[in-house]
Parts: sequence; C-alpha cells; structure tokens
Amino acid sequence: MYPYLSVFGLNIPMYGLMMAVAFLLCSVLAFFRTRKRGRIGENLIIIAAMVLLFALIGGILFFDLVTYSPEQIGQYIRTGRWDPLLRGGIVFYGALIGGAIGAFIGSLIAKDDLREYLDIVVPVIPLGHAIGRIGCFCAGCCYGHPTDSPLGVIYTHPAGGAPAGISLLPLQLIESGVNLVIFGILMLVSSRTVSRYLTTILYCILYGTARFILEFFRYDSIRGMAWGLSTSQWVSLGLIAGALLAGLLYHFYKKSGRSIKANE
Amino acid sequence: MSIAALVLGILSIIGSIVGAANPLSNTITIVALIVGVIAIVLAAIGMKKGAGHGKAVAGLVLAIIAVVVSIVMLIACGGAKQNVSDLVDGVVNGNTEQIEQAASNLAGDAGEEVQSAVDDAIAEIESAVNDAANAAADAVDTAADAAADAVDAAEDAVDAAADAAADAVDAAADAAN
Repeated sequence: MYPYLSVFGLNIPMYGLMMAVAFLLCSVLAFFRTRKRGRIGENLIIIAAMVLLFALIGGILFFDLVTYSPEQIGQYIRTGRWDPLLRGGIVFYGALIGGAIGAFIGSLIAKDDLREYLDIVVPVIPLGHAIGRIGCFCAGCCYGHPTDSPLGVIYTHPAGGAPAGISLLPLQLIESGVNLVIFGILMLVSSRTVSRYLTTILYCILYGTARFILEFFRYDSIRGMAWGLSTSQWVSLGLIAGALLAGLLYHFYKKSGRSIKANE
Repeated sequence: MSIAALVLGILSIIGSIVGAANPLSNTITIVALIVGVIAIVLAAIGMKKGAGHGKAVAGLVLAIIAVVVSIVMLIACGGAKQNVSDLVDGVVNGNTEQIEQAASNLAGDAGEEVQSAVDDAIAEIESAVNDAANAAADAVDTAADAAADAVDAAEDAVDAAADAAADAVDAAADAAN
C-alpha cells in the first residue's frame, strides 16, 4: 500500500519506522509509569533495551523457522544471502517470547525484581503492537482474505508484499483496533488493582483469544500450519492455557496465604 | 561507565548512518544496533550511579537515535519479494527444486489457484523438455537409419558395378574368341 516514506529523496521503510515509533512510544509511557509507581526509571531503561534486542532476535528467528525449511536456511547461510533471513519479517509471538527472555536478562543486569515491572510494562505492549500493525498495513504483509466488502483494500505498489490487484480484508488494521481496545482495558485494570500479575494474565487471555480468532482470516499462509491450525494459533492456545493455569495457581496461593494468616 | 556509554553511543550512531547509507550492508547495521543497546544499558547504569550524568545522558541519546535508525533500516517485511527473486533465480539456473520451493511460498500468499497454475506450468515445462529430448533421439535414430540405408545402397551399387564389369569382361573374352 505504502511501503516507503519518501523524505528528501530517501526511501524510509514504513514497517521499520512504525516498529521504531512503537518501541519509543511504549518505552516513554512505561518510563513515566515506572516513576509514578516509585520504581527506578533507569532500571526500566536497562530492561527495555534488553527487551528490544531479544524481541528482534526472537521475532526474526521465529519467522525464519516457520517460513523456510532447514535446507533453505542452510542454503541461505552457505551462500551468504542473509537478506531473506534478516528482512523476511517478524512474528509477534517470537518477539514476545524473546522480549520476555530479554526482560529477565535485563532485570538481572539492573539487579531488580522483574515482577515489580510487570504491571507497569505489560499494559503498554498492545499499544506498541497496534502501531506496529499499521506498519504491516503499509508494507502489505499479514493481510486478510480476499473480500468484496467495502472494507476491502487493493494493494497496487509493486514493492508491496501483498498480491496486487486483489481486494483484501485489512486484517492488520482490525488487529490494530483490537490491540487498542486491549490496551484500554489493561490500563483501566492496572489503575484499579494492586495485583502484580492480573494485567499480565488478562493480556495473555485477551490477546491469545483475539489472535486465535483473527488467524482464521489471514491469507498469507507462509507462517506455517500444523494439524489444521497455524503456528500462531497453537501458540495462542498455549498462552491462554498457561495464563489460566497461572491465574488459578496464584489464586489458590493467595487464598492459602490468607488462610494461614487468619489461623495465626 | 558513562564515558563508555558516550563512546559506544558515538560509534553506534556512526555505524547506523553508514549502514543506512548502504542498505545492502546488513552487518554494519546489526553491529550498530547491538552496540547501541549496550550503550543504552551502560548509560542507564552510569545514570543510576550518578557519576558523569551528562556524559551518560549524551551517550543514551546518541544510542537511542542509532538504535532507531538501525531498526528502521534493518527490519522489513518482504517475504513475497524474496520468493519472486528465488523464482527468477530458479528459472535462470534451471533449478527445479528452487522453482518449486519459491512457487510453493508464493502460492501460500496467493492461494491454491496460483499453486495449481504453477504446477501446471512446471509440468508443461518438464513435458516440453521430455518431448524435445525424445524428438532429438528420434532424429538421431532416423539419421542413423538413413546412413545405414545409404551404406547399403552404396554396397549394392558397388556390387552391381562389379557384376557389370565382370559381365563386360566375359563378353569381351567371348568376342575375342
């Protein structure tokens, strides 16, 4: 649709630009939330930097693993063609997993408790994701099924990733809207609860459910499929199950803690 | 720590600008990104400790700019374009496996109709190649047969000429007698 922004003759890729804007905006928002909650802002900077690095690694690695066969990856590496491996795309779940690992490493470097930052950082993730999906829309990736509805978008740019001349459902914008709604819900819950983990559990359930449903409308099937479901759908199911289990365990843990204190 | 952050921040922004000026150079951009992240971490640690606050902030700002530029130039979403490139390479080099893989990837984007059309095209190409090979073999066989026939005809002609010569000699001998 609009893969490049031309500024003084320089073609700036919209996908990367939106990713950068998303990360900057979320980092600034998280920084102010950190200060407001009385935590150390510099520690958040350390955690955010490690999240960025490992999220990129995770997202790109996940994309390569679901898109290319091992033989193809080996061929690209042997022939030194890194472009398709590095610039093919990013899978959000890979970035999420990589980012979680990066956050843990960042908390070790900062010598702070990561759990104290969960409620601060997690609500801003869907905001960044919403902005990133606008980048997907501009680049012409992650598009939906062909449609005759008025919502359909026809990609015409020769450098775009989507097939040109076909009216496609703008699933990127739909998912962006869903992420903004999730962001609003999490910010509301975060302002009204003292629970450390509630926003994280809620995010996993909300986004996992939304992503599972939206995947049925995706038309770019190079993400990988297994037993009728896409890779992201399987990850979504795991995310929802894990969040529900964690929620139940935390609930019983807190309940047993209150029972012990009452008996004392 | 603050001085290290400043130095790495300067290096990362130089690297990111060089990488941006040469979009084909992924290595420089990746190195600039990693160095920028390290500079951000060191700057934050320096700011926490309170020593060299100004240098730490300067290093932080430079590193953030470098990281942003690196992300913008490095991250893309162009799987389809790469598959088209692979398809073209496969056709040029006659690599049917590469053609099939790239076509399969593209078909994932465009659905079963394209996959079917590509399969048909590959089948037609293979069929045409087989037909051409068979035609060439037939032509070789025909030429071999024609050559053999020519040899036989030549032998027959030689035999006939020899017989005629022998007859002529006999006739001449009879005439002489």
